[in-house]
Amino acid sequence: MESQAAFTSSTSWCINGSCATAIFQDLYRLHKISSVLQKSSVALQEISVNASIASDHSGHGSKVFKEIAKQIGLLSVLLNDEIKKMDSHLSIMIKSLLQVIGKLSRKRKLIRCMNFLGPSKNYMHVYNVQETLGLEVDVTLDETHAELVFMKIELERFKQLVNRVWSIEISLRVSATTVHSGDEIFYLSIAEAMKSMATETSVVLDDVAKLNNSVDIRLINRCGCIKGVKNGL
Amino acid sequence: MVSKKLYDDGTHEWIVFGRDPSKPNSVIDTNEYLIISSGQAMMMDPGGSEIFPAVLSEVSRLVDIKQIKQYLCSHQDPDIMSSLPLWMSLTPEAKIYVSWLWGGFIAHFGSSYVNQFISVPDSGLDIKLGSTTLQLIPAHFLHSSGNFHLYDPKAKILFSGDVGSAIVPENYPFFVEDFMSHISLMEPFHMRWMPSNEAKNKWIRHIRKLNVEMICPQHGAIMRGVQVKLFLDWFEALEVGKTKE
Repeated sequence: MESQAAFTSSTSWCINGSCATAIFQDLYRLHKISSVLQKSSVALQEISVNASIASDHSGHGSKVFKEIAKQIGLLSVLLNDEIKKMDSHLSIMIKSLLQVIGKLSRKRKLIRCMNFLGPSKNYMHVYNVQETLGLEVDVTLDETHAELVFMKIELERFKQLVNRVWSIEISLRVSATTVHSGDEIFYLSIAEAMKSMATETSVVLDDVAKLNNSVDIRLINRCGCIKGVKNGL
Repeated sequence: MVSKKLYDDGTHEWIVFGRDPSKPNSVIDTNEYLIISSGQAMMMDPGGSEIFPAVLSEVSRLVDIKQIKQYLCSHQDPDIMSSLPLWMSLTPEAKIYVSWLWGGFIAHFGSSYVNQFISVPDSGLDIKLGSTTLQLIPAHFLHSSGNFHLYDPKAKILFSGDVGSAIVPENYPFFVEDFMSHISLMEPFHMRWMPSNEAKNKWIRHIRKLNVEMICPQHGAIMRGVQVKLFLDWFEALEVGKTKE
């Protein structure tokens, strides 16, 4: 799991376009952490299977228990769908940032060329091309920001689904007090497994949200070096 | 970066660029060539991205960059063409002549200008630049498996890529002055980098049929006049594809 330091280490602004690289690195960390969420969905699926098996052994509450197992299974499917959507947004953002880094590198080289070129038609041509590259970078970063907003929406949906996991866990614990003697052990063990899964997932979600915010701030405060206007380019 | 005019008949020019004093020491020295014919320009082996600013500024003293209509990449090496994405951002309409073998590989530099690639078949190609027709001469396995040189029948100049190359000291003259002593600078390069005697001899037979007055390699110094025959004879006798042990 990423440490807190990972989120704070890259808050200072950069020289020579490295803030674009920092955004890329944040996105890459986000990609790595998000893949951990996949495990949550798998864990929930396993809980659903276990609950289904347990329902065969529970007495009078078998029907209710089967329904609970079914609901948990559906929840794991929904979580998986959200993960896929987040992953898709992240892939687009990472690809865009790679393009941005490539274009910024070209832009910096062209700006260096301008130092060699005297006032001439060629100077103006190089100037215009590097300006165009800057505009393209800006547009791509705007598109990246839009993807980030979409990803935030998916993240909120994911959180809501995790809240449902918590609700089912509480329901199971309450039900455990009302079922026939002997059956409560099934309810409580499934509730415990769900609690464990939801706790771990919530920690990861906090990290994802922090990185998300970090990228958000970087994309809002695009510094001059991203646009190629300062830091000795 | 220094430039030197190799040929000029009023409408048709050859210029060599090289001996860049500002290049990092870690970067091998290269020669870049520019042909200007009736207002259109072609760059041969435009060079690595490290030397791009220096080459661009020197080229820009001679032509309007938009006049560059064509690039030849003799093969795929980074010193040949890693600056290509930068050149193509300035001249997006220009065509890039490259062996059909390398197109898909070079596209990894960025696919936005792939449409500008002209895949050269193994047998070579005649290409038009301004008022001149230039010949792309097959030079496969010298050293790359898909390799082309360029012959200009009008100027009688052969751009020979890595063939004829030499690792020369700083400030070495653009033209070979003493061929016999120049051999020691060419020999290790050719023995190691040229993998096939068969390919070498085939190329020599082809070049002997042309009326070459100047051989312009991508590294080292240019050979002209009688040195052309001396070079072909020396190269023919050289056993290549081995390390010097």
